[in-house]
Amino acid sequence: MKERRLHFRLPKKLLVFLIIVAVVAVFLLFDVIRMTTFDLTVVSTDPNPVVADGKSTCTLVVELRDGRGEPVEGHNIFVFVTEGGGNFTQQRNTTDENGQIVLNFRPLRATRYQPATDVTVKIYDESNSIFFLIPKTIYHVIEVVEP
Amino acid sequence: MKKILCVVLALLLSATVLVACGGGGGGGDNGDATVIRVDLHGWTPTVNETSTAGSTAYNSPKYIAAEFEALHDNKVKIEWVRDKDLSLSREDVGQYFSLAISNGTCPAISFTWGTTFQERGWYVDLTSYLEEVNTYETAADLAGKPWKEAFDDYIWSLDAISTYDGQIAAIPLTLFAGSASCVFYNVEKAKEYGFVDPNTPAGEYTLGITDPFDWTAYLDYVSEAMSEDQQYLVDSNNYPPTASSWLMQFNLGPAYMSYALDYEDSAEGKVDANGDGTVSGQEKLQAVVDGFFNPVTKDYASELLLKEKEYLSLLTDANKDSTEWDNGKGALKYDGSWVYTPEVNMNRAFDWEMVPAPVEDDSQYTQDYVDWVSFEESQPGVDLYLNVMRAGVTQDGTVDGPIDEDKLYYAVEFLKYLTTREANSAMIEEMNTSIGAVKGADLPMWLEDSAFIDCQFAKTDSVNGWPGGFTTSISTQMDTLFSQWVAGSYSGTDDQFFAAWNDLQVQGAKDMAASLGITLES
Repeated sequence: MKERRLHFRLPKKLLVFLIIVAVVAVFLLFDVIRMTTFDLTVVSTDPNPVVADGKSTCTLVVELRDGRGEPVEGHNIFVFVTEGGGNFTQQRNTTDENGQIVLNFRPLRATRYQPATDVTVKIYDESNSIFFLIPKTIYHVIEVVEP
Repeated sequence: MKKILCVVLALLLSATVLVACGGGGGGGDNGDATVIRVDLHGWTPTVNETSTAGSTAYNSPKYIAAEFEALHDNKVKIEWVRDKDLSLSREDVGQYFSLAISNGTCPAISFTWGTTFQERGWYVDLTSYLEEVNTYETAADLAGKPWKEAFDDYIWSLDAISTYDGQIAAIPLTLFAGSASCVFYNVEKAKEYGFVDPNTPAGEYTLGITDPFDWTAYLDYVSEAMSEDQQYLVDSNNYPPTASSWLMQFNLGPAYMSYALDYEDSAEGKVDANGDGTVSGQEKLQAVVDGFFNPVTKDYASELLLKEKEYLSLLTDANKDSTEWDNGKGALKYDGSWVYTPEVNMNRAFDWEMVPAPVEDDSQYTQDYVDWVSFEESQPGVDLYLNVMRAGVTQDGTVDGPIDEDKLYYAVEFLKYLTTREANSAMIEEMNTSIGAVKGADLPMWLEDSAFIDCQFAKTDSVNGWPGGFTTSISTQMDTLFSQWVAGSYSGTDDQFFAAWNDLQVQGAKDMAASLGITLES
């Protein structure tokens, strides 16, 4: 009796599609893993809490280090308020030789409409990705108090 | 079975009719509350309450409105207008409101660049309300005083606030930060061209601070920049050219306007015909008809137009492209002062600074009418000004219909509430672009942190720019004529252009006067 051999052939288009998906997945995974090697921290917030009097500001120092704990220079760090209200002098900064950026923040003046509330800011590294934008992201809470 | 079905259908029909009836009269889903539709243009609160990387939340007006509603026991409901495209031209905005009026959906409070559509009778006269005390104001120095006193006096003489027949048609909320237009300059290029001392340490540049950066300096800078590359100048606000270009409004127009308003001739008389020390709207219209702005006979008028052409004819599509500025090769960018914050947040790889609008102060006609003053003394134009639209406060939604007293009352009250110092400051602080129109309002953070506030700002006798076509129809015709002349495609001579320009402008003034019931002497 003649042995029957099974032949399973993928359609060519499907094969190409799967290869593309695999390559994209590898690149994506690469950026995800790469992102986890960075360490982004707020090393100081001064003063904390800050008074919501429409004048007072606080200074945040944010630091970026790589997987070996070395400071990372030249990365663009972007920051914005996600909860609460206030303004930064500059929302996008580049890390210096110490891997640091300095941010000046002023909370909105407390009013009868918007009482003083703590402000949550999202800080992320726009430069740690190679293929896809998978930024190292942290959230930081700035304490805000009534005048 | 059929009977039951009929009863059910009848009940459904009755319910539908009841719901439909209940939806009329401005109540809608808000029960008996009077609904006030409010268009704050670019200051409308965002739908999203929290920011994302791509969109910044703006919440202050939402909170202010909620407080206002609560103060009135929720008998009023503020509804934000979100279907008006912010990028529409004035002509298109006119069409938007025409359609809204015909549909019965005109907002009660709107941004229409002040008095732009005055000839159409769309605005409620707010003059008498401004004499009332703003009872919402709690600031000690403003409380108990007429609402009008919360603002600087010069504002009421702005053409964008007062109509030609003397009505106040718009309430100012925000002003430009010292000047509407400004120039961003690349410091390295400024050093190269000799405008900044190469030895000056970063952050200590004095261009525009120790000496004014005037129109002559600006043209010199532009000349240097364009000798290197057309794209070293970015100016997307004056190209393509229009009769009411930014130059006419901010850089050249006000200085020449000051001269024209002061012009006096023994035979022709003067613009201030009754000699009361102020030029009324009617006197302005009459002055156009009488030839005080006629470039055929008035050298100051023709000089203004020729100076405009000198600059505008340099511009092409290439000057709208900001690539060279972005990459640090460009020398300067002419733009609005509100662009400062986005520019900072671009985190440019090159050093740049910003100076206020360069104004013409060298001409024999303008030299006595321009003072360079501090930020505090500057008289900036209005950025956000709001009208009460007649069609938004009438019972039937038409322009001429009977007034809905509740709607009118709440519309005016909400404007008063928005212009308390506390509300004004809250809006200014959060937006962080312009300054408040209310005296003593907080400054935006960016302004307090930048050297721009230390610059010298041009203050002209007239806060208004040079007149245009008055009506939207004539303005459009003047735009076409002017752009052809600047582009060199106008078939006639300069004198023929001046005559055509004047004919249109005079017609516009007459049309405006007729629409407002003003009788002009011919």
